[in-house]
Order: sequence, then structure tokens, then C-alpha cells
Amino acid sequence: MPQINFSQFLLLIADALRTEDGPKLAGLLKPVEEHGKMLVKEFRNPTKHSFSAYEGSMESPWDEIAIQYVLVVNHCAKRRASEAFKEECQLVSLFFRYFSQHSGWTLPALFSILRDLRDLAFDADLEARQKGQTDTANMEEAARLISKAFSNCITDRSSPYAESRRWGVYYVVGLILKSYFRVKRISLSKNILRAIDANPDIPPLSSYPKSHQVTYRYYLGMLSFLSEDFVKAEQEFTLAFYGCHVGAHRNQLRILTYLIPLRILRGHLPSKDLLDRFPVLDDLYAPFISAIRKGDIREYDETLDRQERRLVELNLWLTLEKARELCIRGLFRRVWVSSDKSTRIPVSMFHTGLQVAGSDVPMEEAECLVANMIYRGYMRGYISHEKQMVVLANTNTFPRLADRSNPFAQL
Amino acid sequence: MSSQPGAQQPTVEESEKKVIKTLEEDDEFEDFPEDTKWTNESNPQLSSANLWEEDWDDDDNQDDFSKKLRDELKKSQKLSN
Repeated sequence: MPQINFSQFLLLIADALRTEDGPKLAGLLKPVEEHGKMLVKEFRNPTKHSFSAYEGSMESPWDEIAIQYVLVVNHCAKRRASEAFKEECQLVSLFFRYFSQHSGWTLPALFSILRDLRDLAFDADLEARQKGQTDTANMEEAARLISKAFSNCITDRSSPYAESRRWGVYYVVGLILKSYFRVKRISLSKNILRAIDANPDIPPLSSYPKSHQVTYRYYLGMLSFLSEDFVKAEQEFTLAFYGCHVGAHRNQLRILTYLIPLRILRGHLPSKDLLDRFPVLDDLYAPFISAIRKGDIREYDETLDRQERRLVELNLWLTLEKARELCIRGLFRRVWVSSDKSTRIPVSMFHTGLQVAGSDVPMEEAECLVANMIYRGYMRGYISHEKQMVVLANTNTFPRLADRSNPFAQL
Repeated sequence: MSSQPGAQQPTVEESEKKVIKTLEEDDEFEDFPEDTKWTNESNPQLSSANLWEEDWDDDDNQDDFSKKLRDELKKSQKLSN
């Protein structure tokens, strides 16, 4: 971009408005662009007051938006994060005045300024933390403003379908959810999801851009996972994973961090091919998977202990603790194989198996564990308590884990 | 290469730290770059490869744990017979 001054900046905005060029408008409002730096140089210490001559120089609210823009870039240049955020809030609010009265052509600009708002809120929170102040107030404020954008999108009843502001709904929701997760106010997400459900005339999710779909599904998966709706969580993570762009490795990693343990519970183990592509997940999950395959309870428990901190942070500790059952099943199946798949195996053999696997329990508890495995459908048969004998079905003795109809039901 | 005994193989603790760090850095779902080209076909890398195993129960394991288990079960079988 050649050298420009504020008057020319106004002309560029007017031009973008006239041609309804959303991406161009987005670029003009980005604080990091080259033209921003030029405008900073033009005004030494800009204030709202010093711009009063420009008010009314173009269609409202764009005169004020342009002024706000200069205030934002000036604060950014001086590294005043909190002030920059406050001015950006003003800019966004002014933008809403225009946005809510027009069709969705401005969506690229909306997305862009909301991202900037969120990033500036992040910086402002960081600055506050360094000063020892509360550290999430700015992000919470950003989330409130982004929620207003959501309302402005969802209430569009006048624009033609193809140009509806509703095409911004899922992207904006993605931004809001991300902000809520960042400030750990996850419970607030429910209001947004409810608002989506209450608006059946939003176009179906599948007709939105893929990046909107994948981000939304990731957060929906997370919310379902955290409220222990594992069936829904697995569905959403699966759709997010298979829809995710191949190049977005870190996002794939993020999705798989949760999808893999949910799949393990269903008896679908990640292949070596999959884990090889994500060494971090290989480090985290391969020991669990190896222990499940072998039935090595000791190895499983040691891994659970070793990874405890990490798993707790990711909210995954309980999930992996549940999957320990699969390891016990693996052990009992090994005992059965070593007994030449006999249909009659003394309880004492399972007891020995548990001892070898590091689980030093009395005989009664071994019997109890076998009973539980039978009750839970992991193995088919019954126990003759008097004879201390486990009588096993001679077909489908250990049903394939992947064949269980409702694997999450008993968790 | 260093001849110190610890240098050749990262200790469990070190690899642990590595995992923790990498996952923490990725703490958030990232914005997709705006210029990302999305196609309507499903991800070829994902559909071509077999990513999940459903049939993984096997009857012949040669790892140390399985061998030890077999040996101990044989011993205890003999005792009970």
C-alpha cells in the first residue's frame, strides 16, 4: 500500500462500502496492517477530540469507526494493551450499528474485528496479570460483545437467504465458546447452544463453510464430553476430525486427544499408523493401549499414575480410569487362552492371573471381579460358587469390545 | 555422542515433560487460516489409511508379560491337579 493519510483512509473505506467488498473492509480495520502504522505517524497523540473536524465527514458510523481505528493502532504502537482493547470495544460497538442494518456482505469484516477484539482482550488480560490485577475481565467483556454479534446475526429476517447475516452464526459461536473456555466460564456456553436450538430457521450446519463446522463441532464435542454425554461427544469429535483440514495438524491433535480415549472405551484402538502421525499422542496413549492388549494391569496402573497430572488437566483422568476395565478383560481373556479356551476354569486361575498382573487381591475379590466382568458383558458365562469354578460359554466367550451395543451406558 | 549413561536414552521423566509441554502449547483450538483451501472430498490421508482397529484380540502374544502369565498359570494348574 502506498503512503496514505487519514483522508485517503476514509476514501478507501467509502470505496469498500460502495463496492460491498467485505474482505477489503476487513483488511482496512486490522490494527496490524501497514496503513495503520502510517496513520500512527500522522497523528502524534490522537484523541477523540483532535478528530472532531472529521466527524460527519462520511456516512455514520464510519467516520467514528475510522477515528476509533486510529486510536486503537496508536495504543497498539505504544504497547498499551488495555487502552487498545477499550478503543477496539468502541470500534466493534459502532460497527454493530452498521452491521445490524445491512446484509451479510460485511461478515468478513465482522469476523476480522471480532478476532482482533479477542486477541486484544488476551493481551490486555496478560497486561493486567503482570500488574497483579484480575486477569480475565477483558476476555469476559470481549465475550459479551461477541455475543451481541451473535444476536445481530441470528435476528436477520430481511436479507436475502444467500446474503443473510445468519451465515455468520456458527463462526461467531466458535469465537464465543473459545473465549468462554479461555476464561473457564464454560457453563455460560449453554445459553448460546440454547439460542441456536431455539432458532430453527438457521440454515443447517452442513451448509456452512467447513472451517465453521469443524470449530463448532470441536467445542460441541468438548461440551458434551465435559457433561459426560460421551455418545454425543464421540459423534461430534468424529465429524470434527474427519472434516478437519489435513494441514491443520495441531487442531487434529487437539480433537484426537479426546477422540482416542472415547474410541478406546468403544473397543476401537488407534492404529500404529494413526499414532505415528501424532507422536505426542503416541507418548500419551501407547502405554495404555499396550497394557489393554496384554491385560497387564500393573503397566496400566503405572501409566495412569505417571500421567495423572496431565490427564487431570485435560479432564481425561476419569475416562482412562474407566478404561481400566478393558485391561482386566484383556487379562481374563489371556487366562482363558492359556487354559486352552476351556469352558471350565477354576477361579484360582483368574486369581493367579491377577497376581501376575500386579493385582494382589484375595481369592474372594478375584471371584468378585470375574462376576463383575460377566455382569458387565465382557465375558459370557457364570460362576459356580461352591465349586469355585467359572463356567464359560463355548461361543463368543469374550465378545468383541467393538460389538457392544451401548458401550458408554454404564460408565 | 556423549558417553554418559543417561544421555542416550531420555529418561521417563524427560519424555513426560516433553508430552506435557507440547500439549500445553496446543492448549486451544486454533483459528483456521482464512486462505485455507477446503475441498468437499473427505480427507484422503484419513480415508485411505486404516486408522482404527476393531479386531485386535489375539491368541498368541510373545511379550514378556504374556510369557510370564502362561508360566505361572501352568504352575498353578499343576498344583491344583
